[in-house]
Amino acid sequence: MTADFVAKLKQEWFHRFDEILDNSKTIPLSGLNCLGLCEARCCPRVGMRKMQPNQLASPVVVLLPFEMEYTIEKTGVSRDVFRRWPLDLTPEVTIEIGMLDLGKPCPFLGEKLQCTIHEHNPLDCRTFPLLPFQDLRGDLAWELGQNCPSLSLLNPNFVTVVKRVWTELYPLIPQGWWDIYAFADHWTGWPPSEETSLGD
Amino acid sequence: MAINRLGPDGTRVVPVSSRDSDLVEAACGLFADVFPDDRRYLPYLRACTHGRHPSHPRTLDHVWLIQRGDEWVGVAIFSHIITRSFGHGAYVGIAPHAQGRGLGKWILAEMLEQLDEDARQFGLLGSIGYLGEVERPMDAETEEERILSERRLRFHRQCGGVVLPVPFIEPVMIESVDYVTPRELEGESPRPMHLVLVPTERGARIQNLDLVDFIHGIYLDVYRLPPDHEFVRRALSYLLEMR
Repeated sequence: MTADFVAKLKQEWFHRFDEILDNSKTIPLSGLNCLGLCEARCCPRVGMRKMQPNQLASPVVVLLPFEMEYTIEKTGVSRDVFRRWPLDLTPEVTIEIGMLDLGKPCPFLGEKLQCTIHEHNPLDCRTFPLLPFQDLRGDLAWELGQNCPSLSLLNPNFVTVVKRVWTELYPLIPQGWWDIYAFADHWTGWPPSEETSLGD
Repeated sequence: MAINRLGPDGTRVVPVSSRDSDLVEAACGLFADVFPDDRRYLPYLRACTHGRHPSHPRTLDHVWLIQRGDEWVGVAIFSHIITRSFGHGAYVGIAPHAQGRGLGKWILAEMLEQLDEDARQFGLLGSIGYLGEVERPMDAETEEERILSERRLRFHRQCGGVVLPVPFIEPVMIESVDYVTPRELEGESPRPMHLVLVPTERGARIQNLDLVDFIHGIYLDVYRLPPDHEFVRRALSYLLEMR
């Protein structure tokens, strides 16, 4: 019963990711000059560990429910490359939410700081420098990643379409996921706690 | 030292000491009214009025009554963990007729200030906040309970609380206390809860929270569980990747 429930949810989320990626063909270009101006400041990587906070655009990527499994299916990477957090859907059902951080850096970043899975990268990456969050009333709200070097170039049409994608997803995202997303503001995954070995 | 500032509607904090039996009884009375299902924890409240109690060797405990005019409208039980830079917020309760006026947020702010002062008293630069255990709405047995849990969780989020992604089980009682017998706790079971950090301004600026420190602080120093206890291992399992 539990396994069936999770399998059904997973199938539904996979379908959503397929649709988002398919629709992304019609998402306007972001306008960002990532390769020209950026040094992958929004992709968690080892080199970021020595950066000052004002140099980081975002040291953490939080994947949506079942997006880790979707990424694994698309890329063949091991589950171990992700930091994983528990998300209780019911008292009996817990799924894992994938995260990439400075302790579990992005395995998809190429040598020249290019994304090697751009055609199916996580929605959190795809959305940056827009940052969704829940406001105090529990509504979907937005802020901008202030340390993105090409923020001024952001295409308004891109913003409109990305916000629409999240607005459609919002009722389907469990509250617990937003709690993990908010926690990520207080987490870099590095340095690891003394008593833990968080990998590299 | 007692913080004695005025809050909304002229409310004020009155620290409860074991030396003032009238205040202790007032705190017990209000606690029993606000948390009727938790009356078995009245001995814990009484122990906390000692500040330092032998059964709580690693915490400096506080019990506060909140007074408005000539009535008690709130009660709080919380502790600074003397081995850590954070505290534990066990209970914050407000009488139903006094709710919805910003009293809760004010009490939390005062608690954080007290914890900051406690931390400095123990040689630290300040406190980073306190950990609270908040019921999970999904565990509610009735719609009324679910709404109440949702409200409590929302309140913590609105106060800047960070729900930690830690599988946390609340033990029934602190280990080996001398004021409650196991028989008195018969029928009680550990409960899954959300572990929430309510940070001070200093805590909110921390970029990488030390979850291991939090887990050890609450389980080893507050509840006095052994390091290899099942709850500790479970809470650490995602960090240690031992699932």
